[in-house]
Amino acid sequence: MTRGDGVGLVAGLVGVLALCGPATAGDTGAPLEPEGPRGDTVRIQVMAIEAGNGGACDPRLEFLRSRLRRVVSYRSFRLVGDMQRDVLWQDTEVFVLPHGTRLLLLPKGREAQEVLLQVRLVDGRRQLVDTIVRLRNRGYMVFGVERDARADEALLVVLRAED
Amino acid sequence: MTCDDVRRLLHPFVDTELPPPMLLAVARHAGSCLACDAALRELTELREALVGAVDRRLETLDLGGVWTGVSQAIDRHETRVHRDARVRRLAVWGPTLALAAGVALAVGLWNGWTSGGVPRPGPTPSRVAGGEPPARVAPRPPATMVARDGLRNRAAFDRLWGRGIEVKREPKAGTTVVWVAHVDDSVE
Repeated sequence: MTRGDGVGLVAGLVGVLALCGPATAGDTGAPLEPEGPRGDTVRIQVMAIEAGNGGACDPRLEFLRSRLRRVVSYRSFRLVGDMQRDVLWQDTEVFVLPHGTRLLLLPKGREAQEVLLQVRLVDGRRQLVDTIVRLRNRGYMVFGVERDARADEALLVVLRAED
Repeated sequence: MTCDDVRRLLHPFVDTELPPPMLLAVARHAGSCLACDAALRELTELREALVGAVDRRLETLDLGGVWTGVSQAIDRHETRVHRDARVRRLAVWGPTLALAAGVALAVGLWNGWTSGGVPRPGPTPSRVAGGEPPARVAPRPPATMVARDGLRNRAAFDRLWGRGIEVKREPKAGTTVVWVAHVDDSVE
C-alpha cells in the first residue's frame, strides 16, 4: 500500500465517521443570526504553535499542553504567534502564519452558544482544510499540520472565538 | 482481519485509540462487510448521543452551593476536633492537678503553713492546649465553572474537507483537533 492509498483511506474513514455522526454533523437548517444586539463583530484569537520533541515547553502554553499531549505525539510546544482581531460577521479575515501558511476565516453567524465559522487553512497555493465549524462561544479548536514526512515537527493553529 | 477481530476493536476504533495501521484495517474491513459497517455506525451514533446527553446535563448542572456546603462542613469538623482535643487534655491534666494540689496541701499542713493558700498549679490546661488553628482549605473555583468547562471545546462540523486529514478529540474538554498529515507535493 502506498502512502497515497493510506492518506486516501484515512480521508475516506473520516468521511464515513462524519456521515455516521449526526450530532457531529450538526443541523445546517437552523436559522442563524449574522448580526445582533451583542455586536457586529466576533473576537477571533489565532495562536500559532510549533510542536516538536526537543526543548522545553513554552510556559505561556501550560494551559494547553496537557490537552495537546493527549491527542498529538509531541512533547514540546513553542508559541510563535498570537493574534486577536475583532472580525465583522460575514467578512473574510486572513491570518498569516509561519512558513507561508494562512488561515482564512469567515464568521457566518451565531446560534445559541455556538459561533459558526468557515475556515480555510492554506499552505502556499495548496488548500489543506476547508471546513464550516461550530465552536462553542469562548471555546477553541486546533488545526495541526505535519511539517515533514517523518512528522518530527508540526504547526499547531489554535482558533478561539468569543462573541 | 475477520469480523470477530473488528467486533473486538470497535470501541477503540470509534474512540480513535488504535494505531493507524489497525484503524485502516478495520476501516477496510467495514467498507466491505455490511454487518461490521452497521455495527460501526450504530456504535458511533450511540456514542454521539451519549456525549450529547452528558453535555446537555453538564450545561444545566448547577453545583454553585457545593463548595459553600463543603466549607461549612469543614468549619463544623474543625470546631468538633478542637473541642474533643480540649476534653482529652483535661482528662489527662485533671487527675495530675488534683494530685499536685493534694501534695501541696499536705506539705503546707506539715510545715504549719496555713496562710499562703494552695500553690499555683502552673499553666491551665486550656492555655497549654492553645495553638494555631489548622490552615483553611484555599478557595477553589466555582464548581459550576468546572462543570460547564467539561466539553466546552468540542467543535461540530457542518462541512469538513481536506486531504489526509483526521479529526481527533481530547477526552477531557472535548478539544477538537483537525490533523493534517504531511502530503508529499510530488504526488499531487
